[in-house]
Amino acid sequence: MNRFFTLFLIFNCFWVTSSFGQYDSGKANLNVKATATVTDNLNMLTIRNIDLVNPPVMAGTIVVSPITSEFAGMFKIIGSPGARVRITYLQNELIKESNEGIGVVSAQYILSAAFNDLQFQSALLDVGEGVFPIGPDGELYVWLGANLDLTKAIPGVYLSEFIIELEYI
Amino acid sequence: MLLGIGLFLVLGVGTGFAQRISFNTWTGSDDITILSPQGAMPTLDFNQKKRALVPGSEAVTIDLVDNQAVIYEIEAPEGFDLTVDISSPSGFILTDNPTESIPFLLKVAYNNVSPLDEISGKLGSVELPAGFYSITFPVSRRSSGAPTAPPSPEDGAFTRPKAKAYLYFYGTLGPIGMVPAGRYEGEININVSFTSYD
Repeated sequence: MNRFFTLFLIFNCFWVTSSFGQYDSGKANLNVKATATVTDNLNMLTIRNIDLVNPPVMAGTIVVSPITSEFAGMFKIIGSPGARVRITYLQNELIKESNEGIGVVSAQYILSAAFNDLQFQSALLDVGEGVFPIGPDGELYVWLGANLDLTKAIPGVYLSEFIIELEYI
Repeated sequence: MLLGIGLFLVLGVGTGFAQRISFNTWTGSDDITILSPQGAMPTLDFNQKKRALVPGSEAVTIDLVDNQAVIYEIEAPEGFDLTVDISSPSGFILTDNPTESIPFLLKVAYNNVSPLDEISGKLGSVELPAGFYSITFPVSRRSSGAPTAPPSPEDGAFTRPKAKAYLYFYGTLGPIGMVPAGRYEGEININVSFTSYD
């Protein structure tokens, strides 16, 4: 029994020594995570053009509110949910009569935006620029209204193109 | 006489290695500690460089001087050489669909001339050529003079002075092809050890 115990002790000593030999502090590992989130390209669909023919002329002006008027134009923007979009547009414009160029219509454009197709709940963008987040469904609705001053207009053809720019920020 | 010199030269060829002693076995209990001044687990996030990454857009590069470059600080006893091995994926993988990827090229730089801090260390750092992912350098490079004596062995009364070196990770992602939207990830593994010249 005694001999067995001595053997065991010797064995134990070696075991301890060898475990020290395995110890290696001179190493360090780390990892770095590298990430990138890709978002969908922005798409804009024109659902309805602004109607400036049917609204009544009152005191030489046509007023189409983007929030309350049924004549307002409508766009749908599709992109990444939650991403913020800067909307820039031309706010004021003088449109000349296209044949003779004498008559002038001064136009002021107004936009409003909302997550859902609820025009009455949309928020006004009144400074020619606005930052809006895209809704949780990846959709943003924009309505276009206008105030047209016709006091300096003569009968004729008035043509213009409304430009709206969208970009992720 | 000439023949003797010639013979000496011939024999001398092939044995003319500089003396190289591997001290790594004597580092004892000294550890290599790696920390990031940017907090725990910094990530190389390309959205911080360019907020909106859209399909079909050009490559995005985080440069060494950019704040988005990941910095690690290595603290190790002075007088030893460190070997840094890096394995980096060649592309970021979409987390939902591993078949979709965006090409990625990691770049690495280090500074071992004891800069004031990690930001000023970017200035005098050494950039590895693209594609080189294994590097050996002394923890602290002396600017001039003869090498000092080999590191002293540890004993109870002596603590070895430590020095700091900095590692910088940056790189280029893209060009971003017509890939689906989502989160793309890659994992860079870094292994730092005392150099053994065995």
